[in-house]
Amino acid sequence: MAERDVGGRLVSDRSHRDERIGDLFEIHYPGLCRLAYLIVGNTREAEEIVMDAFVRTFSSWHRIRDLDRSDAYLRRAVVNLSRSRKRRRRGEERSNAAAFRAPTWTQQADVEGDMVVWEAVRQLPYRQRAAVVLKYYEDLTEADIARLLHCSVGTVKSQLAKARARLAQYLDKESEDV
Amino acid sequence: MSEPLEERLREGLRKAAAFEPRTAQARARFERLSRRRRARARIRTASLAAVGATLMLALVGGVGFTKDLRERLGIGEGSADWNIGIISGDEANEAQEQPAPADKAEADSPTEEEMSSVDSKSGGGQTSTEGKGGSDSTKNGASGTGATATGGESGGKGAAGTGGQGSTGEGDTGASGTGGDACVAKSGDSDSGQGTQPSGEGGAAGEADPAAAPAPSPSPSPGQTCEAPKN
Repeated sequence: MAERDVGGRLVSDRSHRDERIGDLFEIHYPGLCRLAYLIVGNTREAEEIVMDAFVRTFSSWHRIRDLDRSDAYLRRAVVNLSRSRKRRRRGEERSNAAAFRAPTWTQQADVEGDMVVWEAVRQLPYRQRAAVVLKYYEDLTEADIARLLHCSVGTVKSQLAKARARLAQYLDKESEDV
Repeated sequence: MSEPLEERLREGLRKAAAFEPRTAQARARFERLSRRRRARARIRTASLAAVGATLMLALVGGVGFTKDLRERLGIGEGSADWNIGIISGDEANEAQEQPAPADKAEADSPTEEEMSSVDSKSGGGQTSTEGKGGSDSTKNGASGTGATATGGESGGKGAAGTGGQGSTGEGDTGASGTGGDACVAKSGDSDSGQGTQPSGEGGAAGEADPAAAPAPSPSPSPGQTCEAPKN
């Protein structure tokens, strides 16, 4: 089956297609790993999610009409997989424990000083946390967040407001304690 | 209050996610997983195609077999004839109510007593016999009225005898008189009752019932075919 290239050309060569997928992987993998990590709060799980998202997305390569928007496909896949992974975490933990590997990334930044914010974000419920990450890390609009989370814009707004209130309360408490 | 919080959130999240994943190692793993997934998808597609082809062949073969079976059984295309092996409840009841073919044949065939009476009647002036030949002949002849003919011209008491199965009649004939030329019996409507009746010499009919045989029958010429008069 013929596929459309970025420039609109037809690509039928399988090796060229694999090469293109490899390029996309190298471009998007780091950012998606960071996003997944911020949502699920676990590096190993984040890596599994991103890998799963890539495999699923590019195994149905022919369904992607616009390769320029492959990052949107992948981001959506990561968010959806994070949600579904949370639902079946118990079963996944068994298989992950069996196939445990060390994380394939290295922590470079010193996050000790910002651990308070990160700990506050990790305390949030999944939906509020995902909305906060997509809003303040990915800089997405509320409409895009609503599409990604399969909810309305109003729900996103309310979730963000609740999250901000909780974060403010948490951070104020922390600053008072300090 | 809100803007400082948002800025703090942005800064905190950026720093929390400030790490560099080992992309090369992950890419190798991704290619391995992709190959495996594609192979699995190909196997699944091939399996589905095989199952589909098998089902299609089974369907075509089943239709062909049914058609062939219909042709062999001589069953038409009518919808009612399609119910070869399926009998509805009403049909089953009807089938039970109807007697079996053998029974039906027996039911249709007359009893021995009826035979003899028929025989005597159909004998038309000739003697009939009670012997088993007579009855058998009638039986075999079914509705063979006048299945037998008697030969023999005689001055005696008329020729008697019936053709038992077209045979010589085991003592059931008592051809009388001297005529005794064999008379080729002609069956009435049936195929039985043929046979030649040997001439007898005089003699009374063996078991012939004289009373049943009215007197002297017109004696046909030897070999003449006689037909029993109809009542």
